[in-house]
Amino acid sequence: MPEMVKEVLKNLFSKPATVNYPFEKPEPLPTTRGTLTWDMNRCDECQDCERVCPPMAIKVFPEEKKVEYSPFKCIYCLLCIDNCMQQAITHATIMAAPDYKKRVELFEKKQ
Amino acid sequence: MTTQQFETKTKTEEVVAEKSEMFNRLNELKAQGARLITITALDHGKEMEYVYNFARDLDVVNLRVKTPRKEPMPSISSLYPSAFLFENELQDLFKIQVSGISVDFGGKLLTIEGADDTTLVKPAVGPAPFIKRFYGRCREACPGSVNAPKYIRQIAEGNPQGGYDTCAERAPLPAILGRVCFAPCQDRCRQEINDEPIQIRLLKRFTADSMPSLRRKMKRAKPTGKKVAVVGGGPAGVGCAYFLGLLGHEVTLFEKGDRCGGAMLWGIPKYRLPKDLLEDELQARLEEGGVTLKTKKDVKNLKTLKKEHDAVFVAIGALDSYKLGVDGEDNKGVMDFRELLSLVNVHDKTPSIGDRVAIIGGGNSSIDAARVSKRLGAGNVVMYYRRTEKEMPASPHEIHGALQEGVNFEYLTAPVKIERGKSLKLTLQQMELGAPDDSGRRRPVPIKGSEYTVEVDTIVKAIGQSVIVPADFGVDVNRQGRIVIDEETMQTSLPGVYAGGDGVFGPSSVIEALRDGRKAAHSIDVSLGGKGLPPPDLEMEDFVGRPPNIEEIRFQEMVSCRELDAEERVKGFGEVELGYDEDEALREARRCWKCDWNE
Amino acid sequence: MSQNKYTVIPFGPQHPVLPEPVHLRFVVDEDKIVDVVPNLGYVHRGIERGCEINDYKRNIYLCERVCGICNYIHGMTYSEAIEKVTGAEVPARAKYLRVIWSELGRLQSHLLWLGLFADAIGFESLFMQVWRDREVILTLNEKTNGHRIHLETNAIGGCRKDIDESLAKAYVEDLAVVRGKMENLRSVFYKDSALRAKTEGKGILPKGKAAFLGAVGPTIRGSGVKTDTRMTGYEAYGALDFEPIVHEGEDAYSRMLVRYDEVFQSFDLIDRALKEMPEGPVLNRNTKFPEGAGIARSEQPRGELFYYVEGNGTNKLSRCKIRTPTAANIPPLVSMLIGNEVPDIPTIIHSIDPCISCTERFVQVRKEEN
Repeated sequence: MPEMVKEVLKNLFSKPATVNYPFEKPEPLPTTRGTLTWDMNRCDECQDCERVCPPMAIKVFPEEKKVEYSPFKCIYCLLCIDNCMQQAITHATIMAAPDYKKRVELFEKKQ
Repeated sequence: MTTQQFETKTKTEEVVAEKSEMFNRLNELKAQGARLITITALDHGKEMEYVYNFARDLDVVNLRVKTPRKEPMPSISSLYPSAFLFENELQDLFKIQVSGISVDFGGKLLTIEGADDTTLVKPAVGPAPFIKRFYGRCREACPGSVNAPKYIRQIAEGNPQGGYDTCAERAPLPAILGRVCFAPCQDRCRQEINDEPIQIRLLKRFTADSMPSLRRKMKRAKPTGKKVAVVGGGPAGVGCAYFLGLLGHEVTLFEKGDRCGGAMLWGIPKYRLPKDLLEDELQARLEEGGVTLKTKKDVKNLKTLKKEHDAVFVAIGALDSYKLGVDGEDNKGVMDFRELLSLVNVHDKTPSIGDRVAIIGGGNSSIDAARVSKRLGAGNVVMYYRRTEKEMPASPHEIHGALQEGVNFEYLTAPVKIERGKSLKLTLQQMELGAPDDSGRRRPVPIKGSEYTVEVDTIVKAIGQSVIVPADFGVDVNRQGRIVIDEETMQTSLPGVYAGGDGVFGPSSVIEALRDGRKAAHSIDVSLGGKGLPPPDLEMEDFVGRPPNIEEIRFQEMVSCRELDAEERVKGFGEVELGYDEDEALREARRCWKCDWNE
Repeated sequence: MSQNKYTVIPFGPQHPVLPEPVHLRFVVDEDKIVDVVPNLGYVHRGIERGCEINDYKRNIYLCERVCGICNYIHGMTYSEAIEKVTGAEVPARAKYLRVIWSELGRLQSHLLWLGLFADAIGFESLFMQVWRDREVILTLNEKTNGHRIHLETNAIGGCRKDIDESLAKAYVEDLAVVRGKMENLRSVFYKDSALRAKTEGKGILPKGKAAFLGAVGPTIRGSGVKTDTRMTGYEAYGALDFEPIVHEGEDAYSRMLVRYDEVFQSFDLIDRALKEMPEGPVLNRNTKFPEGAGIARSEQPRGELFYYVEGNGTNKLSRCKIRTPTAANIPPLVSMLIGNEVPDIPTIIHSIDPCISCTERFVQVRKEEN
């Protein structure tokens, strides 16, 4: 019991340990996994990322040279980044935000 | 890289028992103090195999019992009370009966009372899992679908002779292709984006160079008793004869000249393809296929051939040339490039062509003519082409080689008139590019009043070949003089007569001729009652994986091939490219990204 | 009148005390429990069937999501089973890394459980304090690989990531802080009279019956039986001289003490593994498809986890069976509850550390095309 009293008194006079989200945001660490972005100048539509993705959140259309990515199916495992031979994928360092509708992001190569 | 072995103090033991003695074994295990881990079942259709997993001290014991599906399985929950949960699960899962369970949920373990049957399982929505194996871009670009990823892997594993067999399965002339193929595969390689494609052609050459002898032991199928005639000893003819010979037919090859080779013989200079190598590989293929070769036989009439044989394959090539269409074309000193190249390549002569040589044309054959002229001693060799460098159909590799050897290029000029005096006078006119024509390239339009004259000793025309078919063949030809065929079966308008190669498609390449030969061989075999040749395959059981550290193969430098020095080259006809040695080939083959992986 | 002596009380699936939904029906006589009928199946997702239609490499990520608390060890055990079937050799450094992350997962799970147990008893301030200290571990996870709970650093044949100098320093420093805080609570757990009154003597599992009923993990170690899968020496435990912690009390109190002491054992194991880790590569990929059957066992925070994997030479498995510790602890739970009183139900259910989402992978194949 005496140990608990010490702890309780210490906590009365210090900042709460909870982060007051959404008014304060926690600091992102450099390894935090966020949504992915494709650099279409480097992508060569080889479909390696599509073959590796566990929940099948990536769809590549090689003739039309576009990539469809669903941030709501993605499990943020970053296997696609590890396997892309042209290093065309990068990830943000803030966790993905919630949304009203399940959207799909489209990346196209400019002709 | 050492992998220390940590001692794991556990072993696994497998015990197979019949149903009748199952309980004896279980009692034994219980006496030894084993504890039940779980029960699972494997569905073999008519019978089920139950696997009981026990843990005894630190070891695992698996007890396997097989029983037909209809018979109920006795429960072991009298000995091991915790088994009731797993047996209920098996009952509901596989729809089987387990008798005498201590706590029987009666099929309700996986549902709650009153719930619908399907509320607990979400049906699988969405696309099927993407598990597909690709051919790889290099293989898709090859006209003959040669399994390039596989032989690159075989080289990387240290088995180049296996690579030779892999290549010869689809395109049976690897030593030749490794030197002369225009390699569409390299243009489609994914590493081309950094200008460092895998040198697939040179690796193919390495597999051939590493064979102690190009003659292999091949098994021919049982003789079918059918006879097939092949007209023409070029790549299409030899390829078709080889495949038909392996399928068991009796093949006779008729060749107009005294040696096989066709366009590979007279058209490709010795510094790109040594002629004894050509002869060696062609003879090897003909021997493996058991083909009878009849040289110096010019076939003019197909009817007798058709009577004596069950099928005929015509591969006569493109042996006529286009005319320039200018005055004075027939003067002495104006030669067709075929004449020049045949003299040098086939008859091993060194004609004197003087010091100043003009070459009209911009394809690979004109560059060959230019480089041959340099080696024959001409000091001033100029190539005239009527469009610009961007539209030249010659490959950049060849243009680079020619520039190194001192050949000059002049663009946007075309000949107008040729006159004969003490030496030849060639009048040329300058051009500019106008609107595009059917092939998409911009048509050259002459600039009025821009004529100029040069004096040369020899003029070589190299503006293209056309097909000439003897009238007595009796096959339909199209407007350009080429033989008309049905592209699926390779059959001509005459039943039983097939055609392929340059004679059908106009001047193309060795690999396209080999593709035609293989396709025709398949077609002929099927029409004669056989099974034909297998299509390109893609097995999922063949494991292909990338190395653990992908960084090792991500961005690595291309291994360039050693070549003869430019000054050395023009003194003779030795081979310019020196090929890879073992070390270089291993390094290059390991760079491959294995685009057909399926790990 | 005497016919209707018994009342049936339904407990769950939603209950403030339960971390995950399970349905139990208690047959009670006044205040004493006479019989229990469990009813599982509320969280089942068809993971075993999902393992059969996926590529075998994708299954690591599927199996990690069987449970939300004890997830790293699921992925690791699956990888071990496949490695046994394909013959891949794991490098030595990867074995140590796997030990470190497993122990980190065990720490996180035990701290979560200690907080929830305190909450079930009614000791809110202890709950809040333990969970505040657990946040440090989750931040460490995020520094390692970006996710707070699902570490996803497994691959078949080793690990995907490595620990470099700065991360190893962060591990040592942050875990020392947590260790200090947990030391302060030692007298609370061992001596507090309110805690003891609520947990001593409740949920007795006699030593002789425990192995018979199939109990695993701290449930059985709290009854005096010395058995722990880590003694078999899988991964690098063979080199780390591991001895399990056993208490003789046979009730819920001794199970709580087992888990509390295991927290300190995990701290020691992590420190030792960080010091003894050899240099070298961390991934050694396999070279063939799985063919044949393989078994892997490992020790989760709740007991012994068992994976049975069967492949047929292509890149899809033909059967993957998972037997989780909570599934094995349900028969002992039934026997523990009988004879106790109704107010003790939350305490006893919590003392086996129920992770019901682990249990629920039974597959129901109704439609042929599934």
